[in-house]
Amino acid sequence: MFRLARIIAVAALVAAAWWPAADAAAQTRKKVFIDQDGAALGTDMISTLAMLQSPDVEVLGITVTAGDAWVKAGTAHMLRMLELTGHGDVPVAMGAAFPLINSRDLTTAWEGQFGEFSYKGAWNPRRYHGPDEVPTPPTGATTLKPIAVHGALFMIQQIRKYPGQVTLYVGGPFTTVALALGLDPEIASLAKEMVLMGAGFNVGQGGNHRINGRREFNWWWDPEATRIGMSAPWKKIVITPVDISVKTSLSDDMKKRLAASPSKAAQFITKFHPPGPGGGGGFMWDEIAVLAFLDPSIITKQQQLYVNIDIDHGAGYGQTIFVEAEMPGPPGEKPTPRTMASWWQVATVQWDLDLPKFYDQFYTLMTR
Amino acid sequence: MTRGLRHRSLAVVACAALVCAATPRPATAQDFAIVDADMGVLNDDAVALFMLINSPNVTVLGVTIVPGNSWTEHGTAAALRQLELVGRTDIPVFMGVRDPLMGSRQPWLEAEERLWGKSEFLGAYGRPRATSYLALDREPAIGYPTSTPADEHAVDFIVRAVKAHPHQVTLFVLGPATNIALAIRKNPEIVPLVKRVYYMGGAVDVPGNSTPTAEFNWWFDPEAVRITLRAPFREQIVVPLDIAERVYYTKAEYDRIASAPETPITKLFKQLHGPRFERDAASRSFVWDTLTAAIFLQPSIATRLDERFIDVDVTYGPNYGRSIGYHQSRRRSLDTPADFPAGTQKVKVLMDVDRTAFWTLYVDRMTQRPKAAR
Repeated sequence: MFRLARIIAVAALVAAAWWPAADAAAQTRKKVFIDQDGAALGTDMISTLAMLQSPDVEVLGITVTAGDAWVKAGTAHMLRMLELTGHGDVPVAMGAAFPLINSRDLTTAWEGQFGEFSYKGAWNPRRYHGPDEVPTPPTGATTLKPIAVHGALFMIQQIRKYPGQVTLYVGGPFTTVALALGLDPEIASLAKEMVLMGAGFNVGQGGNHRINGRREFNWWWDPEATRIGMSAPWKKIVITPVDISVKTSLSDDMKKRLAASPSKAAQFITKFHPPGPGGGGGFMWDEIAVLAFLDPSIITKQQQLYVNIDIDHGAGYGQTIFVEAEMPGPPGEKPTPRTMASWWQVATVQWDLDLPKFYDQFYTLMTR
Repeated sequence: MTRGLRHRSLAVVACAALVCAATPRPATAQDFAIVDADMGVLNDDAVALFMLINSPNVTVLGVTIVPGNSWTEHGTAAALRQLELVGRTDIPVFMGVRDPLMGSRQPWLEAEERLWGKSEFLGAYGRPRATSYLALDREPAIGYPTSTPADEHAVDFIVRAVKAHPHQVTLFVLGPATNIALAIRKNPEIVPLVKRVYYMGGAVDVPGNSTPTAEFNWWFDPEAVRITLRAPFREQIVVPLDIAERVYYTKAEYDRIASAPETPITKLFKQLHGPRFERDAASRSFVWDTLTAAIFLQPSIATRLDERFIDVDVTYGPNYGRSIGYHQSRRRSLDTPADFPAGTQKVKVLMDVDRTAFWTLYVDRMTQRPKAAR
């Protein structure tokens, strides 16, 4: 315990030395800590950018976790995006480099029995590179550096700094969150809430195994960490699942509108996600989570469910498991709360959104 | 405390912990047997069968074939041909299931082994399948049979035979339990009608011989043996690796058989085992299944039979097929089934044998002239 306290204290000192004092306006803004995986292009960067563009949010820090890209490459991508969009003052810490149990080898053997994945993030065979290599990103090399604190410690330190005020936004796998919970289990109850993109429920696409959407990439990359993260006693959990992701897309029409804006954020999208074939974007996975956090009224349908993940190392490894929080009663009677084992947590799961409002708010943020 | 008293109290403790060995009575003329086996050529399954058919008081109603050491076609050819060679074509051979209960894992065994490591022994999974018992991947060392298998499925035969001889049939489950599992799921009413079930299988307190956690027969079809072990048979006796891989067949035992007056069986021994001991006089091997026949024919050979509640891990993981032997403990009494996993049964587990008596019986049955065909 003493050793842990000292690590956290040192982490706090290091971070405090780097981090400029919060200004007065920051006191009224929503405090957010971002945990993302870092593909060079697409939803990881654009959703993080959306959060940073909001005048109502104070981003306390970012940690990058391995998932879509290895952690070193992902951190380089994140720093470069911040550099290009004028957010280079936000501190970035490297988080977990590898899943707790899952691995590339395990995945290959699993595929030998149950079929190939269509998407494996950093393990994709095309353009595969080792975890310590950092190829020059398509967005260019960055001059910025991550802070010298592990992402898990940085997360703990920032949540502890503002008890009850910090929203933890998880846009990638849960590994760094799981490490932080292992070091300091109290962060779950000290955070204001956890907002995340992950899981899949009743959807035939968007999963990374094509069978159905229940095997969602972020959760599948590290199922055991997801179990840890989803079983902690957060005050509130909000899930943006695959079910709602697949209703959106970063369309050519949107890209053309953004191209007309001089804002750095819009120009980032225009330069690296040009309209036309191969321009990238696709489903706006993480952007929904961010925009719904900024304005919950874009969500038109949501439900309270107990949600967790299958960690049996069989065909279902990494699939979402869930049940309604309330048991429907007989006709005419009220539903009753369902009794579950203590590790199950209730989450608010988003099912549908006001698309025009969502796109409109996305455009407004990106053109600020 | 006197020396005599201490001895007596030790004996009481020993009897409480174990089942005193001599409980089952010797086999009699009323004993009918079905040998359910993954039969090979003069392997332990074959010797167990020979021990039973050379015993005057036992009637072998039939041999039923299951995949395990080899595919059903291989086992059928081996059983038919050996019964021909020893002049016992009156004993019918029934072809059983062609695959384990959950299907053959052969197509993805490579991926399974990447996950959990290579198995020491693959049995049938290491051999190509055959389209017929007369067209195997290689001709058996003793040739193909001219006799034919019975025109009835092994599972149906087992059901029919048990019903025809209620409380008189002993089942020898010498390979994976697939046939027996199907028989009792199809006709559960036979369970109380079976006199006794002997299994060779499981590794209760020792490592497995297929994976580090599972014994081959139970690894090959974990679901099947879980079904049969959980059935409320009147009596189940398990011969696990715990004892089976502590009893060695050496040149000394071979010599006793080979030097006896020639019979069809001793001829087979000389033909099939002779070259091995000529090459390496120190060669030794196990005789797993034969222990089931021995303790059935002469119960006093079993010097230690433990009582355990037994289960099999059927979670498809590195422990797939592992035997779990629940022993009596502070919070588990063998007289209270509720102290053990719901559905598990109390079985007897062979832990030690009188080796001298065992080999005497073994050599005796292998060297006597075969009983005439009825």
